Formats: sequence, structure tokens, C-alpha cells
Amino acid sequence: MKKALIFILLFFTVSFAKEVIVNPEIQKKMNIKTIPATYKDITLSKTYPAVVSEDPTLSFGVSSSVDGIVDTLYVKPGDYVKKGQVLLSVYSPKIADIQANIEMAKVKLNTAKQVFEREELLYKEDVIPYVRYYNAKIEYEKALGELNALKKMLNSYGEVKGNSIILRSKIDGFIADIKVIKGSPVNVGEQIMLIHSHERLWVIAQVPFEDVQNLKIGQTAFVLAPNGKKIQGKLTYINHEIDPKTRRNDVRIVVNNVGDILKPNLFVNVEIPISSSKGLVVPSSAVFVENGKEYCFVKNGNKFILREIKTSQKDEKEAVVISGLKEGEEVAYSGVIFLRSSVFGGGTND
Amino acid sequence: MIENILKFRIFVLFLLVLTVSFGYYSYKTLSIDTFPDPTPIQVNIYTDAPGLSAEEVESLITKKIETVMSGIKDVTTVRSVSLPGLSYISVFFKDGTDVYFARRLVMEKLSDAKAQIPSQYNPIMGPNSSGLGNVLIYALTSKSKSLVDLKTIEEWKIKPLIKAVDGVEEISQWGPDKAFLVKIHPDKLLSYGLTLEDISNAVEKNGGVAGGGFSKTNEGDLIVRATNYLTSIEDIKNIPIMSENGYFLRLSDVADVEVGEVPNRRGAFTLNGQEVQGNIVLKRVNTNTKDLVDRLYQQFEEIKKILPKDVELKILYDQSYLTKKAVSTVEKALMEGIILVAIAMVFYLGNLRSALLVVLSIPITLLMAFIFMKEVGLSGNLMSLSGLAIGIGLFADATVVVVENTFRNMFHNPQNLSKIQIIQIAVKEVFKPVVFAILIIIAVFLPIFSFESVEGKYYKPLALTIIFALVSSLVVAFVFMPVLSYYFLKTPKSEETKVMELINNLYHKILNKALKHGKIVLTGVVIVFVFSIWIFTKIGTEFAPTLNEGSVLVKSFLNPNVSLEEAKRVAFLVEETAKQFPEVENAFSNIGRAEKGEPEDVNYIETFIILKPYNQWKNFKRREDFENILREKLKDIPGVGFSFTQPIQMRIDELLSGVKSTVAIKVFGDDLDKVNQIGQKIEEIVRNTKGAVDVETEAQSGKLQLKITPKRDVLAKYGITAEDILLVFGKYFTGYEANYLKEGLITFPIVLRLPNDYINSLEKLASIPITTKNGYLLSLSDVANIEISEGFFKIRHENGIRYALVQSNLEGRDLGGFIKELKEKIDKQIKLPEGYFIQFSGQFENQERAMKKLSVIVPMVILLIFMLLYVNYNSFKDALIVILNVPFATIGGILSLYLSGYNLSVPAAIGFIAVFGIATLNGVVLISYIRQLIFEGKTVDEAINVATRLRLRPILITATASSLGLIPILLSGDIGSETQKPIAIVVIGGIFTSTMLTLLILPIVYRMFNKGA
Repeated sequence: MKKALIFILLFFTVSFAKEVIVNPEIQKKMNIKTIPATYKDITLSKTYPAVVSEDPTLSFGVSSSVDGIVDTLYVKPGDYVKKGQVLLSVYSPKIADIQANIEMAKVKLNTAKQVFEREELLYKEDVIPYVRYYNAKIEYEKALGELNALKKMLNSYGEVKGNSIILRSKIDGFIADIKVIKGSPVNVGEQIMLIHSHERLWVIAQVPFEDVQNLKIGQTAFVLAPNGKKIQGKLTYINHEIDPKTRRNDVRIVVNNVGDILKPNLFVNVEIPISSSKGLVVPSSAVFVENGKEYCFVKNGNKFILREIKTSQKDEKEAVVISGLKEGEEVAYSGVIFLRSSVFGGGTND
Repeated sequence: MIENILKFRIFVLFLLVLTVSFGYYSYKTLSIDTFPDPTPIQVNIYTDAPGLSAEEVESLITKKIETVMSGIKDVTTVRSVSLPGLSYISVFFKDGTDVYFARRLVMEKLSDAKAQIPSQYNPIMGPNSSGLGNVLIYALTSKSKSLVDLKTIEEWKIKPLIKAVDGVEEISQWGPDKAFLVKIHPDKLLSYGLTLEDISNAVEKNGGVAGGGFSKTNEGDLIVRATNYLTSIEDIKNIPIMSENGYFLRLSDVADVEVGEVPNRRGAFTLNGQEVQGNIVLKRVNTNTKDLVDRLYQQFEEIKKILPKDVELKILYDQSYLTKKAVSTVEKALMEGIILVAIAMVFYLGNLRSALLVVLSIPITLLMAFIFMKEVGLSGNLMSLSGLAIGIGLFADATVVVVENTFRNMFHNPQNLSKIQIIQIAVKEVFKPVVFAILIIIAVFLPIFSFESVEGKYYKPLALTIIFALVSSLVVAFVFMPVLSYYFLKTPKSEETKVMELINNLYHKILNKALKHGKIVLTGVVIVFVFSIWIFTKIGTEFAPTLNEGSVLVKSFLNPNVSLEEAKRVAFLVEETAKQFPEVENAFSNIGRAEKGEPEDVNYIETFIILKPYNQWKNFKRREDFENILREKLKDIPGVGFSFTQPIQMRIDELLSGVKSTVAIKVFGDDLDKVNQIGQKIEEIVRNTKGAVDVETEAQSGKLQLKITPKRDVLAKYGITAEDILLVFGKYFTGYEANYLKEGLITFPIVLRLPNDYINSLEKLASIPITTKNGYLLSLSDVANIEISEGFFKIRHENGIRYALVQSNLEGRDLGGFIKELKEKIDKQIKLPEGYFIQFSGQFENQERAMKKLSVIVPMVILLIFMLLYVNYNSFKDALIVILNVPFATIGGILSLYLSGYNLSVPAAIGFIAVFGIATLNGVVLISYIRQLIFEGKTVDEAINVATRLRLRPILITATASSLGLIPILLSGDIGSETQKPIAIVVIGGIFTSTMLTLLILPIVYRMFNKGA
């Protein structure tokens, strides 16, 4: 019995020796590395596949306000255009008609004006009665009103040059589509070309339903472009429906396409921070579980001391320690398996 | 007979020349080996099961094959190890089964077994090699070439050439295999609406070859050959995956294609702190090691010619050095023995001519023995040659007696007979007693042939060569010696030398005093005998002393969850630590397993430390000391267990008991957890037992597993089968060889796999897309539970029962005592549940079996001697007196064994058997003569007086010759002498006491018994 007791005692001292002494040279050779535990903001984020698409609010369709024929095209598809840049001119018979009417009205006005001036003179001389003068005045004002009406009408069709109207871009952007060629007829209500601005894009991420709960509209998200760049964006919308094909929930992230990195239909990943807090952080590889308890090794000189700790959260890279560790303590995060098995045995069944 | 021999003496001389020449030829052409191969007949079966866990390997593969194999005729034991990804089964056959027949039987049953295991796993028979199979280790190194390139050179250029060498069974090759890796990005698949299967189909179907027979055209008769080999990495990248509206998607759009290595490598080979491409050449069973190594060296010369310039082939280890050393040790002992015996002869006989004859008889006898060996097919090895070295003095005995008697008769020649007549008389006088004496010695060695297993394989050759040589010595003494005596011997001037006379007088003074105080002397002897028996119980026991191999093997045991990279660091560290000693020639390790190799994983490292020759050692004098220094240094490495042994010793230990240590304790039972728990407790007991070093419980559990269990209800909802999900893991996790790439004549696999970050990240893993039949895409976490749990790492079976393993080596203590203490402790401290039992294994098994056998053999030998004596004398009383030499010899044997510090081992026991025979001879020589004198009418006292006076010289000569022949072995520190030393010690001690006591006590006893007469 006594022997058994001693044996049990021995067993415990052997199995639970809580520190491991490793000389620096061996530490180096076995790649045992340490890092101080630090307080910092930690964000836990997850990554999802996504596709880039255009922001429909930043698209501009070009159409003619009048039926006509394309006179001149000044741009090609894919051209970058500035606001106010001339895109095309459309010859319209209607404009020509109006122009002709304006000429007519001008002549008419001129005649009416001369009549009016003579009659005014004659009236002042009391040659003619007031009625005659008054009639001439009305004629003149009518002709003036007609001309003005025609001019206004012409203006309502936009910028007119000769018998054509000039269409200009209203935004900075790319010519995405041109549906006409020189000489094509155009009708009112038909889109002639499409201009997109890629200054701002939408990134639609496919997020599994169970992860959506953690997301908030308005939160920050990052788009990981294939070239390795990380672009900040804003989560603006969570679709109310699950995509029947992918069984995932589409989430919209709006990004400013700085440097024109992203392009519509590009496959990207988005990294969405799920939670964020301040805490004592160590690399995840420093923490290990034995018998349901969490441990790490704290370095003190050549000694590595086993320390029981508790973590609140852990991802692939980092773990947040809530108890058992102080800021600045050196924690082993590489080669931990050797320290671990020298305390807990060679992966054996204890 | 003797008349004829002398009559046709020219013919006999001619015969002698013939015998010597043939003997020399036999000696030169005798096949030379290190020592007899103790490996039991066994056939190994490997089944590679990439991706399966140990539990699955056990239940799906191992258990089934095992059950089939245990039904084969003459199978004694079936052992197995189930590891993640590998099942390894050893089927042991009864000794004496032809290994090729055994392999046939296993081959037949293998098809039965194949039918029972899942079809994608293919059990294959392991190489037909043995414990002495690792004959040569070489490595390829290069400054510019990568390991993958080196492996390709090894696999396609070197291996075929080496396998062509007769006697090479297999080459265990380490290092990565070249492969083209296609790392599929599931995200991209998801976006294009593709599945993993689409990719593997595309890769499978784009690339290959078809033969189209012949076409008779105007150009002639053409062979139609449709080829679409993939020949470059670009070809693979451009494999079309999907096409729509004239656009098509290439493989490189959804996957990274790169040159790499076949995934899931579980081993590496390192040399002096650097990973290299290493190889072990395995010898076919029953091939002569030295010849094979010579052939290999020749082949290496050829290979070096075809190697690329910057690739270096380094030979790191070859087993033949041991053979050379062991054989040269024995040869040296033989030469020195002959010289020593010659000096003794001159001393005793005082006559150069007769001494020369005696000395000449030894080489002739040996040469004749070689003829026997060659004809029987016995190879010259440490054991068989030891027989010759040990018996060197014995082989001269017959000649000594013949020559001495001739010599004496020539001196006493009252009738002035002719030389021929004298020789005739002299030979006739001694013929019967000499033949009888040699027969006794032969007889005592006969029971050794009942040894089984290892001890049988080791010591039967020894006994056989001794018997061959003894028979030869008779021929030499009675056929050649009379003729040679005729030519060589001259009538001597004086019969005895001055020194001999002095000794004789001194002896008689003592003898007379002893005769007066007979009872006191006798009581003294009895007390000494009892005392020696008491000492005997104090002597430790072991199987056999360890043979020094001139190299050390360090085994490192790591945590089962260690990665190959981490294991490499440990290997480097061990190698570097060893290399700090100038005595170390080379240090290299193999980690885990080669493609066809041991059932080990990356948490196990074997580091070979090759030492420079013995005479260059400075920091230590013995291998054990070096081990201790190293052990102390390695202690600083945390989390790694170390164990020390030697390369061949380890292989033999392993193949005998499935364990690589001296002592193994196996805990059998059903529940693996329980069995391992008991193992842990036993480990603690072993650790706290004196003498235990390198104690290690094999890590059988604690391997972390990533467990993926499909959610059945979810599967049912979407109409997915569990197999669809399992397939993802079976194929794209382990790596799926979908096609191959052809570079000239060499083909490399194209392996489809998920990218590393998917395989190594839980989160990514959960998002692996799974496609349903109606085109829905789900992620893995939707349809399966993913968790990390602890599982088993290594599951061992013996005859179908699971067991845990505790291993230990011994330092500074005998094996028998150690086991006894351990057994008592375990009995006291551990209560085994029902159905659980403990077995001791390892070298101890051999020892126990051999000692059991010896406890029958030794009494049998004594009985045999007694019977022979009785038949010879036809007197119970005289036989009893002569057999008194057995206790006389025992005293010396025990005392010398005790004083030398050696343990009682099988060779020591053989020493006892031998010395019983030799000692009996002394008695026979003396008592026979006394009997003859009494028969001639002399009184007892007169007879004793005359006999002791006349027989002192032959007794002393034989005793001295037998002992002196052994002195070189005793003094040698060379490789191979360890196993012979216990024999030499016991024989020398036994001969010494038995000779002294024969000369003093036998006369006393004889007088007591015959007082009335």
C-alpha cells in the first residue's frame, strides 16, 4: 500500500512537471519561437466568394429626344468619356422642319415689324386710326411669339447644331454599349448607347445563411482583389431571398473602385469582419487543449512554464486570452508540440 | 588398418597433399556471412490505404486479411500493425518451412483476402528479405537538383540497375515523388457552377493514347497511333473544362497547376543535418551478404558513369564491413591460437619435431573441416568459424596423444623394434581411448541440435563445425600422423624435459600429501562446490552478449501529431549532436516510412550513427559509453523519447518479436483505451525498475483526427448519397491521380487536389461546395458535421488480439533478473480486468526458451557422458568416479564466469557443455590407465602412483592446448569476439579446475572406493 502511494506520487510528479528547460541553441534548432502577448483590437473576419457588378445608379443611357438618323459618332465602345463630351450628332428632319419654320417666322416677324413700325409712325401722325395701328402691333407680337415658340421648341430637343442635335455625356465613364452606327435611324425612346461609371461598384458576396445573422447593414467589409489588393467597402444590402441555386444569401458591398482595380463580373473574395473587440491576443498555435483544458507555454529565461489559460475566441490565426496570461509575457507559438509532449507524454493516453 | 596406412605411406602423403589443396580451395570459396540469419520464416503483406484512419485500416483491411492468413498451414503467428494509411501484416511460419513455398501459400490466400476488402485497396506481399536484409544504404545528393529530381533519377535510372543485381530483393526509397499538382479552387467552381467531378472527368478524358492497328496506304503499311499525351505543364493548364458559345474554360481558370510532389508523404531521409534522397537495398533471403555487396559496388561504378554531373551517390553503410571484421576476428583468433598451442607443445614435449607435428595437425584439421562445411553448404560466419576457434585446442588432442605415445615408445624401445613397428604399437595402444574420448566430446555437442529458433540458428552451426573438425582431427591423427611421424620423428635423447620433471616431482609431493589427508581435501572440494553453486544463483542471465556492430542506432519517438517538418528538425539535431564527436563517421536518419517500408509514421526516426574504427576512439572506449554520453546530451531535447540500439540488432529484435527493443511487454485485450491505460501504468513500473533505460510506451492513441460525418437527414432531403461526400475526401483531399504526364519514357502522375489552405483550414473546409442532383450547390458544413477528435494512431494485433506495447532497453543489469523483478512488481501493482493478459517479449522470449531447453540438455549431456563411460568401463563405480569431473569443471566455470562479470547466457551454457566433455577426457585418460595397471597386477596405490606420473604430461598438454587456444578470444576486443567470450571464459575456468582436481582428487576418490580391493 505504501509502495503504491509512493508510486502514485511519483507518477504525478513525473507526468505533471510543469516546466521544460530548453537551452537556447536547441530552441533555435527545434524552431521553438516565442512572441509577447499583446493587447489589441481584434477583429474576427470570414471570407466569402463574391462577384463584382456595376452600380446601376451610376449608369447613364444615351437616347435621342427626336427621331432621326445618326449623323456622326464621336466615340467607340470602351472609350472613356468625360462629362460634357460630345458623343454623337443626330440629323432629324423634324429639326430641319423647325429650323425652316423659324426662318419663315423670322421673315414673317421682319415683315410684321416693318408694318408695325410704319403703322406706328402713321398713327402718331394721326394718319391712320388706332385700330389699324393696334392690329399691326398684334400682328408683330404674334410673329415674335411664333418665332420664340419655335426657338423654344428647337431648344427643347437639346443642343442643336444645324439640322442635327448633339448628344453629350452626362457622367464620367466608359462607353459600355453602342447600339447604332453612322446612318442608323434613331427613334425617340430608344437607347443609343450606355455609359457606365466604374468609380463605384457593387460586390455581391454569397454568404451562407447561418453567417448572415452576424452581418450588419452599414458595416465595413473588404474586397480581396485577385491581384492581392484589399479594398474597403460598405455593406449596404442583404438580400431578402436565398439564391435558389447556390442556397446562399447574396450580400451587397459597395466599394469605391480606387485605381480601377475591380471590374464587373470579376470573381473576388470578400472578407467581412464578424466581431470586433479589444483583448489579449496570442497566436492560435500557442494554445492547445489537453484533457479539456487550455494551456500555453510561457517563456522565462530558458524555462518554458506550462500555464493554464482560458480563451474567449479563436480563429485560424489568433486567440483571445481572457485569463491566465499577462500582457507582455512571452508565449511559445512554434515547436509547441515538443514542449507539450515533454509535459504530457509522447501523445500518449493521459 | 594402421599396417596398411604405413605400407602405402606414399599414397597417404599424396592423399594429404590432395586434402590440403582441396581444403584450401574450400576455404577460399566458402561463402562468408556475418552470422546465421536468425529471422523466422515470414511473409509480410502491405496494403496502402491512403486517407484511411487507423481504425478504418484495422477493421476494413487488417482484420480481414489477418483472419484469412491465420488459416494457412504451418503458420505460427500472425502480427499486424494498422496505421493511418497503411496496414502491415506479418505471417510467421514454422521453422524449416521453405520461404518460397510460404510465399506461394500466402499468395494463394491473398486473392481470398482481396475479395473481402474494399476493391480500391490492393494488398501486396512485402519483399522477401530478413533481419539481415538491410545490406547497403546509399543517398543521392546534389547542389543544384531538387529532391524531386533526385528521386526521379533514383526511381528511373538507378533502381532498375540495382534491382538487376542478383540477390537484390527490393530498394526502399525515401524522398518525394514528382507529380503535377492540380489545385482546384472550389470558389471558382462555385462561380462557374462546376463540380469537382467535372474537373476530374475533364482531366481524365484529355490525354492518353490509342492504338489503331494497321493501315494499308500508298505510303506503305502503317501503324496507326492516336496520341494525345500530356507532355508539358502547359498541356495540363489548357485542358478544356467547359465550353459555351464558342468560348471555353481552361483548367488554369479554375485551378493552379504546378510541379510538386505526390501528396501525403510520410517519410524523409536526412544526412548530416540535411534532407537527401536516401535508399536502403534489401537483400533477398539466403543471399550471401559479402558477395552481394561486392556485386553492388561493381554496379555502383557503372551507375556513377550515367549519373548527371552534379549528382553525387554516397554509400553510407554496408553490412559487409561487419562480416569482414567478424571473420578477421575469428581468423586472428585461430592464428594466435595455433601459435600459442605450438609454444605449449615445445614446452611440454621438449622436442621441436613432435611439437611441429602437433601444430601441423591443427591447420590440416581445419582445412578438412572446411571441406565438410563447403560440401554441407554451411557458410563461414561468426558462429561456424567460432566453433573452430573455440575447439582449436581440442582438435590437436588426438594428434597429441598419438604423437606423444609414439614419441614415448620410441624412447622406451627395449626390443629395438623398427620405426614402423613402434608407430604401429603406439597407434594401436591409443586408438580405442582416443576414439572414445573424441566420441564423448562429439556426443556432448549433439544435444545442441535440439535447439530451436534463434538459438538453434546461432549455435547449431557452431556445434556442427566442432563435430566436423573433431572427426577430421581423428582422421588426421590416425591416417596422416602415423605417416608423418614415420618421416619426421627421431628417437629422442630424453623422454621428458627438465621442466616437466620438475613439475612432475612437485605434483607428486602435493598428491602424496593430499592422499594422506584425503577426507579433508575432499570435504574442502565439496564445500567449494557448494559455494560455487551458491554463486551460480547470483549470476545474472541473458540470452547472448550483444554483438558489437561498430555503429549506433538512435530511435526517436515523437508526438504522433508532429509534422514531417518538425520531425526533420529533430533528426537534424540528433545528427548534429552525434557529429560533434570526431569518432562519428556519418550520421543519417530515416523518418517515417519509405513507399514500401516499415509500418511507421513521421513521428518515428531512426538515426544511424556510423562510428570510425575502434582504434580511433578517443572520447570513449566502449560503444555503451558513447551511448551514455549521447543519451545525456539528447536529454535536453524536449518532448522526444530516445532509445539506443544497433542497426542489425534492431532489425533482428524487430523481426523476432515485432518489437525493436530488448524487452517488450505486451498488454493484450479488446478495448484499446484500457489496454493503453494499463500500458501506461506498466511503463511507470518499468521506469522505476533498476537497469531500465529508454523506456517508452508506444503512442497508440492521441492522434488528432478531423472527423467528418455526413448528416443523413440533410442528405436525404437533397437526394445526395453519403458517398458523394465521402468521395470529396477520398479523392480531393488525399489527392486523386486522374491522368499522367509523359516526359520521354517517364510518366508522372497528375494529381487533383484541393489547395493547401482548404485542406489545412477548418473554415475553408466547411465551405467546400457540394452539388446536388438538381443542381443546387451546398457547402460541406450544410451536409456534414466536422469536428476534431482524438483517435488511434497505431493498432497492433498478435494472432488477432489487440495489444499495447511497452518497450525498454537494459543497461548494467542482466535480463533474467530484470524480468523477474518486473514480473513481481506488475503482479503486485496491477490488477488486470478479465480477458486482459500480459506477455513478455523481445530477447527475453529467446532467453526463456533457450534456458528451458538447456535445463533439459545439460542433464542429458551428463547422462550421456555417464552412459558412454559405463559402456566403456563396464563399471558403474568407475564411471561415477570419472563423471566427478563434471562438478570439478562446474566449479571453475562458475567462478570464472562470476569473476569476469559475464552473465549466464546461451554461449556460456555451451561453454559448460563443452567443458564437461573436455574435463571428462582428463578423467578417462587417468582412470583408464590406473585400471590397466591394476589389470596388469599392480596394487591400487602403485597403479595410482605410476599412472599419475605417466599421464601427467598428456593431461597437462590437452588441458593447456584447449585453454591456450581460447586465450586469443578472451583477450580480443574486436567485433565478433563478444559472443565467443562467455564460451572461452567458462571453458578455460572449467578446464583449469577440472585438471587440477582430476590430478588431485580423482586418485583420492579412486583409492577410497577401491580400498577393499
